[in-house]
Amino acid sequence: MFSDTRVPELLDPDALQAWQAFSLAFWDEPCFGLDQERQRQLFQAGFFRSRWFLYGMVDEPEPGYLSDFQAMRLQAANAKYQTVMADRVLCSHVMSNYCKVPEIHCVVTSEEVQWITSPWWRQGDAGSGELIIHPTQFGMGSGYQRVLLEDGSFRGPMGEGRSDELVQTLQARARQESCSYVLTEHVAQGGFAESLAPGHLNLLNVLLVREQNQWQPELAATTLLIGREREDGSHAMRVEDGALSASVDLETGLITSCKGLDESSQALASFPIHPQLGSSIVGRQLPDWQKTRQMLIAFFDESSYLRACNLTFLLTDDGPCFFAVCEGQLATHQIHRPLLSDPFISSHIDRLGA
Amino acid sequence: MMPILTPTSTKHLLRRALGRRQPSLREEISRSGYFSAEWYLGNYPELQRDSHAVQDPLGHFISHGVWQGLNPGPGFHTTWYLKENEDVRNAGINPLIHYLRYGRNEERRPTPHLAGIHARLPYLKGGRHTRVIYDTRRSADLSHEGRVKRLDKAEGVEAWRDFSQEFQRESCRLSQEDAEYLHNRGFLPDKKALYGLPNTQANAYISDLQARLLPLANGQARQMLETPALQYQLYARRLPMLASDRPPAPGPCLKAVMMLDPASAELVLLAAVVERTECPRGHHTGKSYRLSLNSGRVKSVVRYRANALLGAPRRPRPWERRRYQEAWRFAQQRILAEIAKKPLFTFAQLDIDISGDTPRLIGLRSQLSVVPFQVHGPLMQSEVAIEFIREFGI
Repeated sequence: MFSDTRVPELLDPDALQAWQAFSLAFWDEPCFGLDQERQRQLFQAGFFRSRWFLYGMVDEPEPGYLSDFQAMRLQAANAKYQTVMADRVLCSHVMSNYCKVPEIHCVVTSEEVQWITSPWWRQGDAGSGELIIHPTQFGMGSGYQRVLLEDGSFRGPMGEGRSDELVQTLQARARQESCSYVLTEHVAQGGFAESLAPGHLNLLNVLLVREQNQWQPELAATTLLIGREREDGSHAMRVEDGALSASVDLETGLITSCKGLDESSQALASFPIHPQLGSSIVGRQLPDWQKTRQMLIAFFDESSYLRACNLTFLLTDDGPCFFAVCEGQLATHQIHRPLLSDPFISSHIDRLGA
Repeated sequence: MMPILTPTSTKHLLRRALGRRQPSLREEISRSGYFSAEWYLGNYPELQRDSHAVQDPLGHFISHGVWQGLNPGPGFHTTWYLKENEDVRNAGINPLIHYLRYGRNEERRPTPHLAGIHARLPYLKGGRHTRVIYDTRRSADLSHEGRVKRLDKAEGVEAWRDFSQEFQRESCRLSQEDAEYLHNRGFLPDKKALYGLPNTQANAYISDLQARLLPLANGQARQMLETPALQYQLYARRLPMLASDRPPAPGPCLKAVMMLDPASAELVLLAAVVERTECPRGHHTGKSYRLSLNSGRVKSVVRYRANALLGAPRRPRPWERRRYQEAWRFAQQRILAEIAKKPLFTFAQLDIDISGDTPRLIGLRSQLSVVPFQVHGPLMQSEVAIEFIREFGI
């Protein structure tokens, strides 16, 4: 298990980078009312503060759970090939052979804007629509953002402005945060996903791992991340922010349980129906699950250079559409089942010495 | 005696001068490959509202765009070029014309972004002023000695060390003079007989050291070019391809070299050959047929062994000329064109199995197998190839 006392022993640059990302994200999180001693325990064990409630910890961090530091290290199991998944453009090319992939409009770095397709919203008769902004470095960053374009202006979490100034605004942010972004088209989710929580983006998360010796691909966990409105009116997009996580049976595609943080009691609670919208969740069946499952296994079977990856898909009426790679964000799966009990995952973690 | 210029004659002279000047500028720019109408209109969507720009993008660039700081294509960065070159800024000359006429032969770069390559391959980590292999200048010494002196990154030095060690192992039968000649130009001993060295074209051949350095030009894309499973994932569903775990059938193999044109940032074909291996009486020999990139007809034929030519390159026999034309057309339309649509690398050799009914891609490699190509003559003769080598300092 990770401990901050072991930091001087971390010689691998990837491990040090994961530790840096973890520690920065740890201090960015609110303290959830935890006392100093608990916070120290969590930090030493490599968990974010929110995990105390999400994983139902009582006295101390539970050993069965994959810590956030370990979750960040899991991608290192892919060795040099982790760059394939970390590279949004290359990853899109790979995924486009298996499912629909949103078109990438441009890559925005602090230094330049690299256009891949012509921006429709900057043309004279541009109509309204939506775009998605993804950070190119996955991890515990701000995650994706939806941007609404209407009447020649844009609106989203990063502010408002004229639509032809969207990219400049994004570049200013990239400079400020020393990171880069990818601007993609927004693919509309299908009827099933929309019915789970209308108005929210409800995403399918899948964790794929490969057995170390026989290289058999395995679907380790599947959950649906269902949106919920927070008290301040914003949309929660992660379980630690209040979004719900619905566990999907790997064989049948049936939603077997749905959990989320109860904002008032700061405890994990079950929500068979959406607490705000009343839509039923548990007991529903993912459409065309067998096809989706086959597609995922085919993808991972042919990705013989990968050992573990956590992908997010948007559910459209025509099947899943690739959304993002979200390495490191495994809480959505772990609130249903501690992942360190999975022999494939634990063997990778042991090998990495994380 | 100076002629007296009336307003009418001045106007007439000006019109004549401008009339002559404009077409030559247009011609010069469009011939250079640095202007792309599609890129220009696509990258500056606001021009869609300007009828002049839509009807005549190049004319718009010459008369307005360049002075507004717009770029003609991915290979030239107008404002950066002006910012870097004070004399051009003060002279008030069209910066692209300055580059084409003078800058390219001097100490000047057209763009900070790897000559447009960075713009087309966003995942290639290049960055501002970063060279993939060397921190070099455009006019850097491209001789073997200059190349070795500039090697300052671990992989480049490793390539040099491996070359040197291999040379030492294989050079025992060479005279001191030949050994010095070959080693000082980056060639392994077998190239003496295969390329007929020394000869006047020695510098136009890709040396063995250059061949080892070329893969580095692919930056992160090298990963893809060295991972058959990833290649299979990327291409098998788009074009005919052999499974990555299936060895190609023995028989003729079409080899084509693709590289990124630094001016247009498009993938272009550099050369194509068909290689056949023959083993009469246990002696391993090969035959290489060089193909015309336009027609696919055989242009020359060479038979060679591992370290010697078995005859000078010859013209094909009448029955050999069209032997691979059909396979070439298929490969060009169904495989090479498909790969060129989404440039994911800067330099690669594509191996295509043509022993069956349908040509199938075997795979891409970043390491060039120089011999089957260069037994016909040096590869680095086209302007694109020379620009590429200069841009990367290889």
